[in-house]
Amino acid sequence: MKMASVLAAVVLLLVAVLAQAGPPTDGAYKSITGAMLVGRFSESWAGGGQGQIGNAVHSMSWNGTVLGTQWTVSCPVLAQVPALISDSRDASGTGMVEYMSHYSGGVFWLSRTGPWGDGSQDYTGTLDYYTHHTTFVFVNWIPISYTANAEFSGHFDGYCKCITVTANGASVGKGTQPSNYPPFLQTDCATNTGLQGEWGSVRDVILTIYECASGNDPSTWGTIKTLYR
Amino acid sequence: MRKAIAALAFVVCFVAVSVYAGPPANGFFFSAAGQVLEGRFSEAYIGGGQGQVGNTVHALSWDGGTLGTQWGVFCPVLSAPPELIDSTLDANGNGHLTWRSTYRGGTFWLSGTGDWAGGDPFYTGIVYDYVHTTTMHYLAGQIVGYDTNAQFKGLFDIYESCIMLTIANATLVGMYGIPPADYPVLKQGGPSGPTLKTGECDVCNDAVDVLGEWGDVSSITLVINNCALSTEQTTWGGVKSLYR
Repeated sequence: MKMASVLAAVVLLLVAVLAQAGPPTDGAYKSITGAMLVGRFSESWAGGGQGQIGNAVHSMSWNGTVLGTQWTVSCPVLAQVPALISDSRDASGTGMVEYMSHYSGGVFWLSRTGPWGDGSQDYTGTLDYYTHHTTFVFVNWIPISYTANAEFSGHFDGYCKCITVTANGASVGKGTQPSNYPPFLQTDCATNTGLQGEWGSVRDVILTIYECASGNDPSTWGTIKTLYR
Repeated sequence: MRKAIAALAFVVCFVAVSVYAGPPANGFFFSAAGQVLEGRFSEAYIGGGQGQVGNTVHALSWDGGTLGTQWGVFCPVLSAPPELIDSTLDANGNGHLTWRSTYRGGTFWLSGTGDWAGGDPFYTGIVYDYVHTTTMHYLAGQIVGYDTNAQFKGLFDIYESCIMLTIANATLVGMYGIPPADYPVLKQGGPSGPTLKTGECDVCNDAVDVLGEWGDVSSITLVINNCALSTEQTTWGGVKSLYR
């Protein structure tokens, strides 16, 4: 009986290991070296307008023809009113304005064919932190364009691996859903291309994968064994 | 006598017009639309290392083969320790730090052949309100890269009230070294620190025996605003009217 239990445990462990074949490979991956693709983003105005709580971000890799072949980031939602960092506009409303915007929620997807993968499976995970640092240029109180640093941290599903990403974003347009940009998302993350929103480019992507700090560690096999001694 | 004065006035006016034919055109110009070249930058560690007061920026347009054919920014100097505005670093040194860095001084040069052409062969001016917001990306305590929002305003020489506003993205390519030949040379601006006044850049020489960092500039928006013929300029009709 004891032998059978041990055998069953071994089989279960083997199945579990096979199901999780090939964790993402630790390392740093950059678009400027060609290791990964740049991308495009949209931000729906599900909250009612630019910079409103409830707006949802959707970013996808872009290979020049097709969206989302290598990575996606879906549905971080603007969680609070953007914090004003500085405002250098003059009396006529011409100058720059900087905001820091914190988002909550969201998930990511990485293709198995990326440099982090061994081809066995795609990877998914959850965002733990997502922020934009955005600089607008205004003329006569009208925003002309913006650049942004987008940054997020998250953890992988099924592995004790964490991810950090930094990227440059820049506005391209606003209004109704354009083609060849990620579909607008509602606050509940459902696609809704009938929404208004804004969209732009994602460049200079820096992505690192590493062991999560101990506070985020899932239980080890040793820990599990101690529970059943 | 009157003819001689008129002839002299014509010569003076011709010379003036040949040097200052007209201000740049007002408008919005985007690198994404192909109206402005993207660029490359260097930052010299005049202050002794990354993020140190005194460090000096040098940025030039890049057409894929030649630096500085369309625009240049010379010698904004980091004037105060960068301010930390955001951090996600974990216990193992993984995550981000975002810094806001203010620079003072500097000058710009803009070709007269861009979409903003107004007749002059080129335009120059002083730089002010120069700021970087930089998100540094760390892996195990080591910087693996950074992304930056760069912004500045410029006040054109000659054409009073004519201003330029610029925002751009930038990203790190290399650091703690000498930039490759196809990146702007390291510059030393000065004086640094609180004694430096807006627009002042009385020194902007190539830096000697100093290391620095370098990178790429993209997603540029250039706004030219309030440009009109300077009150110091006079049209030929204006000159004639003086001698009627």
